[in-house]
Amino acid sequence: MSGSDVCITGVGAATPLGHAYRTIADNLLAGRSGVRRITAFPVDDHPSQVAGVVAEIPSPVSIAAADFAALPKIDQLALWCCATALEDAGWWKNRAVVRVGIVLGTAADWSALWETDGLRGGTQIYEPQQHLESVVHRTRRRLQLSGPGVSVSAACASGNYALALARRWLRMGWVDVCLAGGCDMAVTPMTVAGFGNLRALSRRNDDPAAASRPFDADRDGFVVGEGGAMFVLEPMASARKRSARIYAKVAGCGASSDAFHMVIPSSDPQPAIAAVRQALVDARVDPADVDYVNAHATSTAVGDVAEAKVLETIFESSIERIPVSSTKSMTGHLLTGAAAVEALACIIAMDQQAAPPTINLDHPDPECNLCHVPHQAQQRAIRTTISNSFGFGGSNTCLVLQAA
Amino acid sequence: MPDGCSEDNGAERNPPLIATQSSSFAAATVKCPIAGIGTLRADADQLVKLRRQPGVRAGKPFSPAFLKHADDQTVAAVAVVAQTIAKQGWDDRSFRDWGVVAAPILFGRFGNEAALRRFVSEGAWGISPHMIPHHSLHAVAGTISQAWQIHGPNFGISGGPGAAAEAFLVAATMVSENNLPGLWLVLTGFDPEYIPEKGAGKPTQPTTCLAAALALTPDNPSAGLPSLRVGCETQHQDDPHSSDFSLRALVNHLECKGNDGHGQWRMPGGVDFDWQIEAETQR
Repeated sequence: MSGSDVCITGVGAATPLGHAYRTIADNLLAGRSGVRRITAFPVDDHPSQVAGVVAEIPSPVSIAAADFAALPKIDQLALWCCATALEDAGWWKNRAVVRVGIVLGTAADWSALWETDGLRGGTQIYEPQQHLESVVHRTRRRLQLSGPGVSVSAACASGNYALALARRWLRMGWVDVCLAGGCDMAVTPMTVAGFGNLRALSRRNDDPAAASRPFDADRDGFVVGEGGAMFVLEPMASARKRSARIYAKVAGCGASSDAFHMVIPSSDPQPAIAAVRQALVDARVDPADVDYVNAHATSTAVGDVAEAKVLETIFESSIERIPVSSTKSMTGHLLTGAAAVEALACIIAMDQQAAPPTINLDHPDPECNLCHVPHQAQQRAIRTTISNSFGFGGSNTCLVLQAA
Repeated sequence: MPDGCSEDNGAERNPPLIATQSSSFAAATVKCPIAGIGTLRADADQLVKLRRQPGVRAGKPFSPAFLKHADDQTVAAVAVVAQTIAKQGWDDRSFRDWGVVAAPILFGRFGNEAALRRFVSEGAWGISPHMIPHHSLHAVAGTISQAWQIHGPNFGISGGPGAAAEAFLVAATMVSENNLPGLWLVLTGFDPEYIPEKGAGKPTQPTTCLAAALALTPDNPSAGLPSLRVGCETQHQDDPHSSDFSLRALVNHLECKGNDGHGQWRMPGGVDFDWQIEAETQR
């Protein structure tokens, strides 16, 4: 153990597979789909009509149910994830005596507010808003946290950036404990329409549970999802000293940019390869020692093949035995919440010693020649995991988590 | 003298510029040279021109379509980086391994307003496929990365009124890792706030897009450059030297005072945040 090691001691999440760690783990390893037909708003004129949707988010114990219900959905999600993570880590009651920071991966703070309000006939988009707080500061204030708070956005890669920044804040001494992760409530009429018109979404509307099929030859686009996860990060030494449950060590982070296109992944795999290599070097992990890869694989024709090339290059011959799966097959693509929820999938894989499956992988694309985990979880010894998250704007990130 | 540097504005807008003595640097403080600084103010007409031609990169003009679908704040961000590069004589310099952190304020309101109206009148098909890629918070940093072939990390910060202050914290965090040759910190926002006139495709009153670009490099004492110092610590009592941090205050300060002076400003939410720009060669 190094003096600068940082670990995860608390988890809070709300996903299409549930709101509690145990429920999410059970559903993930059972290969259950959280993708449904959208019922929250009319979708008859939308090209894609399915999504990974979270059920009603419960109120954390600290907030009256009626007050919680009146909050915007993104506030509910962030509050639930942060409060339950602090409680899980054993910091909830003592959060005032330490500097708790928060780094939140999110993208739709203001646009979600304007859309929700505007579609209800409101006029907030036409009103001054310089006095309003962003969701990260509302969350920070409601939870009475005394450390700094920032929100970061690299589209689907946001959560990995949040974990990297939080780890650095701990090492710099800016915080004693830091919440980090990503939250997104993107299953809204305009977001689903925007991605649909971009021709990025699956149109398998008659079979929602089969719509998200990463690496499958019959995939036809991703399925948008909503939800998120927040983690409590703290120095490994202090976690051990207080005998906290340690879910994982945040061993390595890597990031790069394609500098190619705002939407389409680069045909040159080198930038993404650089991000994965950087994470492995940061973690001092040999590629051959990785036990599980949670792929970004969204179920798009271009993206899945591009990532397969990256993995083949990184892992060389080891790629034949290192299990690779995309849990987006079950959750849908949670956009800025995706990286954090997929970090949670890696934690579950280490905790349960099982690689989660890629469901709907009936006919693996021959251009994605990987050691897949089709349909069913596989029991394996898993101590080191990597999670890739690549986003619009050309962002490539990789997170290495290790059993402590 | 640039706009905003009159006596009257200076007194009102600029925060107190005080001695370097700081009360809140108990935790790690990040100090790094600023290799280049640029600011920009663009009204509506200027933004139209900058959208077609924000400047040059590697001595060549941008394609006129490069910023066709971009938000106005992205246009200003690309233009201020281009101007900073030109001012520094860096046309031939590669920024390949640099990072980009961009912090727009209330980003995408114009595009969202138009999209909302079209969605209400036309339904799902009224939403442009360019809406999400170019009006989401990552778009400014992603566009700069693409423009200058920057392959280091790129991401957006905040999007809210406190974006500029959050961006300084994040930039300091990134620089402190010491694994990037440089970092572009780009801040944008409207002054006064851009309030769209319903259905008119323009703001209710004339507004100016402000932008600032700082080219930060890892600590190098021999460089003799002005430097940025950022620290962060929770304070439990009011500090008389602190005042609200804003993009307007920063741009005014950079335009009026150049590289010299110090700022100690307060971040929203009660966390104090000190930054100082000092021209070490003049001390």
